[in-house]
Amino acid sequence: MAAHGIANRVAVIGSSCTAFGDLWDTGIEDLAVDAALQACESAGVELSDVDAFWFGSTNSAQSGLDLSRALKLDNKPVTRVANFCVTGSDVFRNAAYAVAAGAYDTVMAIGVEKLKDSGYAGLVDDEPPNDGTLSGLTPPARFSLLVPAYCERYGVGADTMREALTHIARKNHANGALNGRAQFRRPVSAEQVNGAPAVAGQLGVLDCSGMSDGAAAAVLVRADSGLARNREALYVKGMSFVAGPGTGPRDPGYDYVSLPEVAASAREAYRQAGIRDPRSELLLAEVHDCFTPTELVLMEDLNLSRRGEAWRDVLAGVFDLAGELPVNPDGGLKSFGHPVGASGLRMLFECWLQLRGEAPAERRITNTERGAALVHNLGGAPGELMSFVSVLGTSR
Amino acid sequence: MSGLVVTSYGSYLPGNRVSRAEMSATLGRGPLSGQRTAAGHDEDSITMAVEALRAARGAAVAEPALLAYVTSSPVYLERSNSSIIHAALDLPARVLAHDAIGTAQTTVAMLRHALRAGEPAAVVAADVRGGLPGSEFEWFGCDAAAAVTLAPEGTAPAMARHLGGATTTLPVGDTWMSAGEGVPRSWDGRFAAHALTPGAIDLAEEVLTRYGDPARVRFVVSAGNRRVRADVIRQGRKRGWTYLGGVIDDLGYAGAADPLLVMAAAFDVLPPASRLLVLTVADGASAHLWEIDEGIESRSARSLSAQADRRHPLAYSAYLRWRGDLAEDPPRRPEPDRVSAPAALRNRRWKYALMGAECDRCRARNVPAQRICGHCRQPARMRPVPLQDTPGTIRSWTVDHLAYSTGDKVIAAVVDLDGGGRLSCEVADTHGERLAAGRRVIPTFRRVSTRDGLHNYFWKVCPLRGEVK
Repeated sequence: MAAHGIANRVAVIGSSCTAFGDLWDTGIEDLAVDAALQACESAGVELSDVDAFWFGSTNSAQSGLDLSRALKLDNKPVTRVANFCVTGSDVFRNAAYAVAAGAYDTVMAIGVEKLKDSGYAGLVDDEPPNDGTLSGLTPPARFSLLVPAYCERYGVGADTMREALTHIARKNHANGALNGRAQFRRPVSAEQVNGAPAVAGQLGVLDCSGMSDGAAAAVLVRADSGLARNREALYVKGMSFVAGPGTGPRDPGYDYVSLPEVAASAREAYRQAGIRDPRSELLLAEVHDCFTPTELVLMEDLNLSRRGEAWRDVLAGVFDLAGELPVNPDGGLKSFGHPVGASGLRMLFECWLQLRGEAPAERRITNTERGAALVHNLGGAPGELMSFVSVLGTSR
Repeated sequence: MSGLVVTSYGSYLPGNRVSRAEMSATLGRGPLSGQRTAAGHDEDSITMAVEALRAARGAAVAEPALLAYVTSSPVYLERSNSSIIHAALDLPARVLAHDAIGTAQTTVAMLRHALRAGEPAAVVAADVRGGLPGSEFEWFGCDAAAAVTLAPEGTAPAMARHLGGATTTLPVGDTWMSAGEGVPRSWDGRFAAHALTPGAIDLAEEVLTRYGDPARVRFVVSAGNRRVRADVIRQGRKRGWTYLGGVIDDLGYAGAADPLLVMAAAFDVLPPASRLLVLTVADGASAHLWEIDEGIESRSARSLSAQADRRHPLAYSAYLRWRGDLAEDPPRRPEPDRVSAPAALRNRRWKYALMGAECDRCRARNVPAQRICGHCRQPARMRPVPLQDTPGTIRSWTVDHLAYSTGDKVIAAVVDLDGGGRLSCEVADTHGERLAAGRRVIPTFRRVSTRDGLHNYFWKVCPLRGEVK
């Protein structure tokens, strides 16, 4: 019994991402077509060359037909994936496995989300019929539970914690300001972050990711195929996805100080990829900063900071664009925006740009000794979580 | 004599108090003093009845064969309200639970029927008392619930025994609430006093004389009309009877719950061997004489006066909002989903009674029962563990400004229960208290949400006050 991984068996030969934001004039069909055609262009293939599709959308689609109708696919397999906020990465994972299994030569992973047509603030869950005893808390409230618990465990004062969270918000907004595709392209001051309207617990509006519309896609082939050899491909070096038992809200054993599912998936992905010290080996990390305390805790669960010290590293600028290991150089969910089903593939897109030296100069990370990047994407909430980690590299 | 005795009783007063001065000043009316008791935004005549019965059940020994529930503010007219109360108390299916929609006389009648039926019974009455803004019904209404349990003599210590009583019926019509209108209205109070007081006093005298020495007796009065109530007390005193005043005099009228509430207030303070006349005046009168027994010594510490002392100010504007009398712009969030009736029925012991479970393999507490134990991860048979009276400690907490709420912002906590298991749920009745990890809390039955006229009941926790370490 083991997860064997598919290291060096799958190559990403094209990646795309639309602009994210309040796209009032753009529908789901437009988003799907734009992301799909741009991914094909990036990969140097025609849409008709793609043998199968994995299509992620949590709130904007019902089936594979939503994609096949938009792209006018002629009898191609389309699998619709919906797995909360980790949908985009689960799309990628299943597409990669199909290639690794030899079932198809060329596949597309595509995530499309149209959240702004609902008229609601924040993300809206569509729960199956139930007995009415489930928590009605919103995602920011559920993630805000991390803050008091973390402070208490590590003796971090409320003001210091606030500074660290504000630093994360400011960093990701500063990065997003350099990204033409981002939803929010303005730097924010500490005063703006600290004075933002309250959302949940100690989180204000500027501690939360932006709900947005958008789409992203990737084209995958076998690593030993001619298509991969002929292009500057990225290779899947390690990939892990786990769903926890969901006992956190019911079991006093869970402490709301870490995300154990993330730690488990990171360990496995690093093992497959042969990463021993991620902080010194990775060029960048794209992580699931749905809320500022999430990014803080993730630094520890992804083994980028020691336990109890992420707040210190954050304040020291370790994860800034010019820091030792840039985290979310594209602005992250925080300022790039979070079109749920697309986010995992948006993270991949930034790795695609950065590892291949194609990121815009103003936020390009240059370090020729580091040829790997990390994508971390999660779904659920502390205590009942799914976590995805992949490591992508430029060489086989 | 049926052979039934009172084996326990309980009362429930919500913690919110609205200043009568603020209520009257808002409409430019004259000055008033005192405060009225108001149900929380997540409370209604069902949840309050559950809380009163939980208080009563603390001392009760026998399961009732009958649960009679009286209210004039029913949550449902079709669908038994009492079936929800029955489920919250985790009573066996064979217990007959039924609603009696009506006000004070109905409560007295249900008590009388239960006494005559001769089977163990619980009688509970609860009301949310509204009234048009600016009316005495609003100012001097009281949201409350009260309950008594009855059991055959000898099966449990007797707190009180019924000596006898009598009733008159008269179509006075001094107060009325049209079905569907939801607010009471009244005739001139002087007419009510004229029509009701003499008959009530005569009836009381008849009962007192028939069952012994009036000088031994204390009397209490339940009357919806303030003038009638004052008049009856005055006339009684004139005849040399001793009125048992106290906390009840300042509370206001609790509708269907009022006769049991005044009785509970008296039971709270009377010593064994004393006698109590409960005089209910509405559409006639009822006079019932009780003798307090030794079992009263084991009454609950949660007296009515202890509850009345908990005064948490509630702004009149919030009171109006919570009752739907002041409509506000809703948040840009979807309304909560409608509860699935099949799912609620399947999970009734968890949903309504907060029944947890213990794994038969590793003894870990699971909240609620699971097919696979959350601790040992093995398929398990789970033994039910009641949790509704289990206190817990807040591990982490938050305020959700975005979530849909029936009142103000949703406050939620992760609560580690004494003896194991965890609840992640809303916190009720914080009354502005800033919570902290370590705060002690206790479960409370609440109305969580409403959709399409279907109400969702579940448990929250509320701060545990006055815990003895």
